[in-house]
Amino acid sequence: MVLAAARIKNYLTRAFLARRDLTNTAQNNLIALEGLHAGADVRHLDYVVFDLETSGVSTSEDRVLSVGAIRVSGGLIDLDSCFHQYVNPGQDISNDSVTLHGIKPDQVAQAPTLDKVFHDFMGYAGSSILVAHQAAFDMHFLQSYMKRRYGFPPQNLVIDTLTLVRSLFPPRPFGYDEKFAARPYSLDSLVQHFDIKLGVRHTALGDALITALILQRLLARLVKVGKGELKHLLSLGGFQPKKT
Amino acid sequence: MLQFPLPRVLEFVRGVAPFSALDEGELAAVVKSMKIAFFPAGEAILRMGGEPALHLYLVHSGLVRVHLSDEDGAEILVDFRSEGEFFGSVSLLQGKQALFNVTAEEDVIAFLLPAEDFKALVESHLEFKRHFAYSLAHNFQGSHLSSQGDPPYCTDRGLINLDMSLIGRSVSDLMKRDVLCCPPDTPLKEAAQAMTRRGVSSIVISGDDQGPLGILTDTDMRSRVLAGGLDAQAPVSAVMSADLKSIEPQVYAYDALLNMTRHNLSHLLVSEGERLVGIISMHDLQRATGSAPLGIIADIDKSQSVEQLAELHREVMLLEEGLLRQGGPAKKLVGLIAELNDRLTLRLLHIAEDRMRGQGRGDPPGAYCWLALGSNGRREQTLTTDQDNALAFADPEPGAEEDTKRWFLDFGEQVNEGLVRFGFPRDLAGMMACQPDWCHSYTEWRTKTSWWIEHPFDRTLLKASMFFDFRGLAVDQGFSRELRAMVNQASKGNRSLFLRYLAKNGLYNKPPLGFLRQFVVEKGGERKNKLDLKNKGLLPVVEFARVLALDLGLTTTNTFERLEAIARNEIIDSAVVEDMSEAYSFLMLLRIDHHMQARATGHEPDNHINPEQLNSLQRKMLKESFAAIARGQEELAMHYVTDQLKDI
Repeated sequence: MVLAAARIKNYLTRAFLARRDLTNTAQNNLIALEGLHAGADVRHLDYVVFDLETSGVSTSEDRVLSVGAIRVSGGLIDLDSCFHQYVNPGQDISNDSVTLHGIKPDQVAQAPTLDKVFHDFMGYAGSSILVAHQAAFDMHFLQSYMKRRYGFPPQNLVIDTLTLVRSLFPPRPFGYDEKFAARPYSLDSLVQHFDIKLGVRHTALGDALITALILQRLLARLVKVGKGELKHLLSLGGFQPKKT
Repeated sequence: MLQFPLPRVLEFVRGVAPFSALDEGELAAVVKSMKIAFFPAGEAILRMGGEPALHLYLVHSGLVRVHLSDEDGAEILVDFRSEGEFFGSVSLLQGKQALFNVTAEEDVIAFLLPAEDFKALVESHLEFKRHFAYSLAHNFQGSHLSSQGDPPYCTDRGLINLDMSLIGRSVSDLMKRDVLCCPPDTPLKEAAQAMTRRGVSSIVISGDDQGPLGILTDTDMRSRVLAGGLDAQAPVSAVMSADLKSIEPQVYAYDALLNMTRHNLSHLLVSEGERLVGIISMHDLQRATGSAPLGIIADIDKSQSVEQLAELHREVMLLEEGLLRQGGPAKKLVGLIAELNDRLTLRLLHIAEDRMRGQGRGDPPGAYCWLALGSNGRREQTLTTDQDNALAFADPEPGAEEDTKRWFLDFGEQVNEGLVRFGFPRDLAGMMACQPDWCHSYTEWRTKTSWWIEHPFDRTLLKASMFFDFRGLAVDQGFSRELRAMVNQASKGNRSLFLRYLAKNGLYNKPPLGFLRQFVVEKGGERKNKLDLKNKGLLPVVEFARVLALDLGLTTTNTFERLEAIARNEIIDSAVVEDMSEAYSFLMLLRIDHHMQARATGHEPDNHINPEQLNSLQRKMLKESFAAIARGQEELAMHYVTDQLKDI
């Protein structure tokens, strides 16, 4: 059902934009849903797992400092196809945030602007399914870029690994697991839970790799519980952008 | 060039041999060509006889099971692979279907290197060629192991070190080009004569169109013709093997080895298309190795001087390393090393006798017996051991005591020095034949050992435990047997005080397992977080076996054999004893592995390992082993009621 809804939205968007001249990136993005069908095996689809490092946690005030992404296709993480780019935030970075993500002001001073980086990123992502952990945060920046630049949000399907992991591993009904009590589905907790040793936390590409490794486990889990089709993936982990 | 942006991915691959041999640029390029896969526990990754592998698999975390299915569908376990280990290389290098099933035993993350990138590395880097030739040899061992139950690490075919010397050589380098052929109606007798004349081990039977129909080897001759009582005039076609396998001349020699082993053949035809261009036999492969143990043993036996022997040192070391790397049951591995060391010592004894004569000291004043002690006495030496030995000589004529002892001390010194030259350092505790304390006449030894047994206290128990694994090497082995009988007689008698104290001493070192079966590692110093394999693991088993062996009057000094006999006698629960034997074997292999690693990286081998650096399967087995040893110690304490002995 979710795929159908995405298709309807996509159809409306395309009808609305019908007569405009669009760049290649925009045109390619508009056809992102073609070739997908609800019964597709989740292990055979193309995913782009991405993560943004930002100067803080506020979507309104903070700026993107780097974009990292990695491709998962045919169930395999492709190390030859990494996307990693620093972004010039156009403003100073607070000292507090430097200690978290370790990005120093001089690293981003020479970097391209967010528009340029997102433009490249959308070209890199093509029609792949986008995946992020706590996708709402990352998608906020991407959506506002796309709307500002092209007048429509990204048409790609989006999977939120946080939603998916919560659906597949529901919280315990009674008591709590002391190990992960505070934020059981945070990336840190999942790294610990799945004993993931690859990927440096708090770098955009490192977090993308970690999220991709989690995605692989979640896809295997879906198949194991007999929900290995795209429609299941979307209903258990699909990200729905808020109406704006 | 741009640095690879995922440091931990790079670090992991860099830490795995042979990738560690690549320079930064090459490494980054290789890592970029990799993909990361996840296999949930239970998933079949490769299927035996299925499609050839498309990738080389490097396990990053978790454990896979390598196994075969036999005709009845039953599973035969070949191996486990864990962190930092590979699978799929054989199928890749051969471009043939997978030889084994590979199944995820736990959740597995694996790095996949595409076939063409892997092959390019094997072509361009000797380290890769070497490494994966080993894995080929190991795999073929696995298949051999499962089918015959005994690994061919040292068969009469001389498979030792084969892989090393076959690297980079093709079948055409080693094959015989001039193939002896005969028509199918040739009488057996004629065929045999032709083979003898040409000095070859096989004859190919070919029809009118010259296509090979079958083969007859000298083994076939022996087993089918002679043993079968066949008429010498019968045609060769009646007994030939029509099951011919051929191989192309340009493939690697180890492919030929693999083929022969898999099909249990001793010969392969070499053909280019339809044309027969040569024949290759197991013997050709064996000859190519040059370093077969029999060759070295012959060289040792032929040596006339310490210098000549010392020159063989390197070869023997390489052979021993090769042996150990090939793997196999610990008892047989160390047994082979003991055999080499014994040969060496025997040779040194002869050389030393000659030198004494050359120095005008004359013949030995009487019969003597060289006693191998400690791990050497138990035939359990690994790569790095001090020399432990003693000398016993026939009672001298009255008045000649001093001269005789002098002669044997000097003689002992020559042998000890020879052993040093060969890489066995002098024993720090001075337990060597050149020391007055360890060089005695038969009567003195009898008196000494009886006294130790009758007066069990600190120093005597220590000496007894060092000495009582003695094994007579030469020349008068009769004394060694006699002394063994005497020692056994004296200490026998269930729960004699001596044995009880010996048992109590043997319980001093306990396996490093905590109450919750966690490892108890050293808390500080150089060995922080490490376990002492030798003192806390191996030694308790040796001591356990020694006490009970003396009690039972066993003549063998080998710990494995002692444990076998103890289990049969059932004075201690046989299941406990068998577990200890397994544990001993595992610890020994682990220690050997540790030594080899140290040697490969240029470190001084020691007996301390960090359990964190083991893979999960090894850790599991290490815990099992320590637990088994602890159970054995409890039984020993009960049997000899050691807690009621007062301290000495």
